Amino acid sequence: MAAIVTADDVAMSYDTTPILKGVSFSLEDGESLSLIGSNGAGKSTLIRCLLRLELITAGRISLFGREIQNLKPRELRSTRCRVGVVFQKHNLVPRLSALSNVVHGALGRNTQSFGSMISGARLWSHVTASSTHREYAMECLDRVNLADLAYRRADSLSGGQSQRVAIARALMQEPDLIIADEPAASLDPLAGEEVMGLFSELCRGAGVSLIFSTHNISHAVNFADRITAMKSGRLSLDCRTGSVDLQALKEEYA
Amino acid sequence: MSAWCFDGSGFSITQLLGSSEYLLRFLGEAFPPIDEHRLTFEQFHRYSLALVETFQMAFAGTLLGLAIGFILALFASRGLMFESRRSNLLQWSVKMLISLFRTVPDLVWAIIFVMVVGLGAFAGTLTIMVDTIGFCGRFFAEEMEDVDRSSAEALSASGARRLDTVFAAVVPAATPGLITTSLFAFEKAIRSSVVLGLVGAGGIGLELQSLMNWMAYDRAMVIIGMIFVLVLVVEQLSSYFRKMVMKNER
Repeated sequence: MAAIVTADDVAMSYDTTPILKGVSFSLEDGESLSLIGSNGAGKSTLIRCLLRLELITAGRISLFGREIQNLKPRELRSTRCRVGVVFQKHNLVPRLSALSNVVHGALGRNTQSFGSMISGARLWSHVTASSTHREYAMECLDRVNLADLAYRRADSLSGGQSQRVAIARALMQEPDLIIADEPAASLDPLAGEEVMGLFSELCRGAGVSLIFSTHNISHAVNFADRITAMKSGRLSLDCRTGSVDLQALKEEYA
Repeated sequence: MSAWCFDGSGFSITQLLGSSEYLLRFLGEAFPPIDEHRLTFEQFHRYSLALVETFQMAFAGTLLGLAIGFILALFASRGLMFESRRSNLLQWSVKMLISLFRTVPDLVWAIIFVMVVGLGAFAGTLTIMVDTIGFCGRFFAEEMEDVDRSSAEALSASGARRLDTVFAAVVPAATPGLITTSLFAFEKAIRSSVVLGLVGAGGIGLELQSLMNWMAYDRAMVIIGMIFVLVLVVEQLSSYFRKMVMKNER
């Protein structure tokens, strides 16, 4: 299988403080990978670097065979639109409905031509979106069991419901890869378990690759094919989840 | 500092008290408003039309100012539309343009527009427009700068265009602030449009000025009363709409 994500000796610093030090790993198509590590280990920074939300200072990152640090804005957008991103704090637009937030997931697919600017503008809200987009957004909400709350404002949803909307938004993109930064961190244990189960099920069902960071060792082992760990900006573990000693991992990283 | 400023301002209690007879004479001639020179229906009709014109100037000028001010604010807002060194220059230039519109007083703009397009309501409308651009351009830009950009970042990370992230994420989040600023701008425009007539830029101010020049203070008082009612009604309506917006945000 081909690698869809490759990080090769990646380094990154804020001012003079090194955050990532020579991180290398790859992810194959259809694979799921968890990333564990204590606070400040560099997990979120690595994830932001993978999406070029932060610029790396050395090394190479490629997504779908394209080196993202050298991409022009339009090329970057066309690469990013294949990646669904779920953030720890959901990052929904608070004043808009759940449905509008999900419709926004299609914005990335509408950026490749000048003519698409008009259709892109229609995706700013579910009210102006085409019936095709609206129906598909409803379908995505249905897949995360939130179709009945489609017209509820995002800021009136619970943490778990907001995270489900964020997942539906990622599904709306029809991505080849989903990257999630501690998707269960702001949820209570039950909702966290539920959201992670949903993630894993949806990704496996649709053949979508998955990278997620977590503090929860059980989630990292149960919902991924491979587990990686970070310590002080370096990758300290990379192995199949079937071959790890859960207790030893908990002692070292929990 | 305060003493120095009061000294320079020419503020004088004795002069104020000594001038009270002039104030009393003005008030005596102004009240009751229609005693000496009977106010005819034609005159009242003319004042009413001038008041309507004042409202029209304020409304049209505010609408144009809001539209242009909003567009300029998009470019004046830090890191919103572009993020590069060249864009910093553009942002700075737009901010300076907005500052120019805001810092030059509206009466000065009115004098300039009266020279350019002649006496009348059009000069007043242009003045209100420029004043609103200055006011809203600054506050709209600040509203959009203060918005939490995390939702815009999420859309950007999924490949959305910059323009789409602005209108899908930043503008909706800033909407309550944009609406309340717009309502304040309209209130301000109503108050400004009243005095613009004093320099010939249309509206009821023109009528007021000519009556004051003729020392027809009783009829001038009628106009002042009409202005008071207009400003009060607009302020009350604006306040009601602002409360509605804020209530929806709770």
